Amino acid sequence: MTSDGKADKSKGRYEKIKHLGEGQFANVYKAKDTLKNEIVAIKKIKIGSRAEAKDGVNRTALREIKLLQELHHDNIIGLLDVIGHKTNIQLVFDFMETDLEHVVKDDGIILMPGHIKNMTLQMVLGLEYLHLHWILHRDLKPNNLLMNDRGRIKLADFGLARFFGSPNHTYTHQVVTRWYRAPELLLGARYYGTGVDIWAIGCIIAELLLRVAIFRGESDLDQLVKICQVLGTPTDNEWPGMSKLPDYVGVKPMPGMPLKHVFTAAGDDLIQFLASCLAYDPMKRYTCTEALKSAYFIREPYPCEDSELPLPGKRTVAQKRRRDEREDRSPPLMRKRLAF
Amino acid sequence: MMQQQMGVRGIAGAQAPPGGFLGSSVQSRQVMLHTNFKNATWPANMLSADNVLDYFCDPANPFYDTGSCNQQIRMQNINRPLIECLAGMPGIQFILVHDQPPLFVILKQQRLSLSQVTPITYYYVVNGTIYQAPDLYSLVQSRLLGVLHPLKEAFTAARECARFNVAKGYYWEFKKEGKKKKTETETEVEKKPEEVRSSLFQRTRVDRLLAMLTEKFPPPAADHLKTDHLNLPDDSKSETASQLGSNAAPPAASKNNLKRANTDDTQPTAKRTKVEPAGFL
Repeated sequence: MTSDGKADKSKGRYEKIKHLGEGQFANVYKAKDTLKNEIVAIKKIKIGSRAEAKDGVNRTALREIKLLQELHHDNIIGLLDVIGHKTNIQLVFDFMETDLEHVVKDDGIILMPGHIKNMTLQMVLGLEYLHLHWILHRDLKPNNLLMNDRGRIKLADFGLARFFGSPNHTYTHQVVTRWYRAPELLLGARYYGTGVDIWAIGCIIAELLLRVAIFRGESDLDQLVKICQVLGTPTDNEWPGMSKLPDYVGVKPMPGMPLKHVFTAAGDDLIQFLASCLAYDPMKRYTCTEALKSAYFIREPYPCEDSELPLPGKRTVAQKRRRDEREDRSPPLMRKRLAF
Repeated sequence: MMQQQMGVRGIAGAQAPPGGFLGSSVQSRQVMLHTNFKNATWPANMLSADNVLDYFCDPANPFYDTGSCNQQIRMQNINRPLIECLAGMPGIQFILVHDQPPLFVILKQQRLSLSQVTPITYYYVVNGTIYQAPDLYSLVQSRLLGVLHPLKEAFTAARECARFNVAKGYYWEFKKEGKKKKTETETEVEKKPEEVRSSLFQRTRVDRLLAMLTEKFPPPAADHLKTDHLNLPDDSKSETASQLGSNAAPPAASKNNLKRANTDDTQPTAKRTKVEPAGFL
């Protein structure tokens, strides 16, 4: 495999700047689009094993290209270009500064209620667009929610995404990173819908609030136990049809704890929002459209401006500007005057 | 007594923190002034400048606001110095502004930006019990009431003894059997609480002793606390001391008195002021 200058060869349009990271299926590079003079991210799909490439092209890449070419939304990563060169496929994306995993793990950041509401809103807006176009993302996690330097959050990594809604298709339940996997997937459901994405959204919001993943299972079974420890073991009443799922296992009855005690600083409308995202019965879970109409988005505090969102290791754009302003004239030290 | 009942309610911590903190009406403000909170699972002598905010930041504490920045930080498990975190967070925050165990003063403030902060309410923790410091309005109102009530009593009493005769003009007639009996019973009722509190002599004497002591050992941060604020904590300190002195009891034994003295202080009730108007003036 040639690693250098592959983009140049194909068109000469993109100039590689640096290697950003390596995933299971691809290498990602930061590059410059010399035509539009923009920074972009280039995802170079690995050839993969013979089995993976038996269709000629890596299947995840194919999925991603197929879906993303038709999806155009502010909160969904934009596929700008596809370069095919010999056996290589390279996808050109919007360049994104960071992802929510980095935001959550940065100790220098404190997420205010307005920040979290903004992030939630952007996530749900993007997801609503997907669901309205009969697409399941199936791999939502903080790592796949990218954020650019203007605070715009975009859903990315459509390697597991697919169309849903046709009744004769069965789907694999081995999707979604375990910590964000909905209980019906853990119990082996082969038919599922938008609920799996909403559950993941609930887990992500919880993670933004607690700054640590809420259900950290070490195995699929442990994952189910971790969920029950917080939410309580579901009853047949709460989730009819649960015991008919293929891999159903009974978890010993646990009372769970009130969400108010888990998210101590969250308002009642947010608690209600989370409870609806983390409902056991997928039928009772929010849909994106319902979520957008919830009281959480109507009441104060209102979501902050995109530019106010914190970026890891940096001040927000707005903060920086404010600091510059302050340095010009001496600050009105109200605090000093009033302190004893 | 009323304040004791309030105290019990506070200890139980059963009531939820009131919703609106900014748009609080006069009534809810009054209620907060009459409330206190104590978490019995924390020994009062364990409180220090380092942990008193943890003690205060208890969801059961009616003065605490779970939507505050402090709670955001606690929920998110941020492992950085609190003051540093709060500096960058606009919103309602609680900070420790004065500590001199067993007294701590906590300020509830609204931060608008990095440099702009508006104080909202002061709270003080004495021996593990949290009270809200009264605002100037409530304090003056309470003191004025304390003055007016006995004055009014005196005037009504005096008016009943005033007589007019065409020949003599105005004159006083104090000797009246029925009247005397009534005042006797009244003083009896009033005497009881007076025994618990200190006499004027004791108080003035203790005040002088205290003044001498503070001159000898000036408290480290008390001077700026005194100058700027009507603040009750100061008030309560002298009250505490006078209680201590008057009862000549060891500090441990006087804890109860101290607590009572403070609850009394926040009560603008007529009952108390009736007891000893002199103390109030």
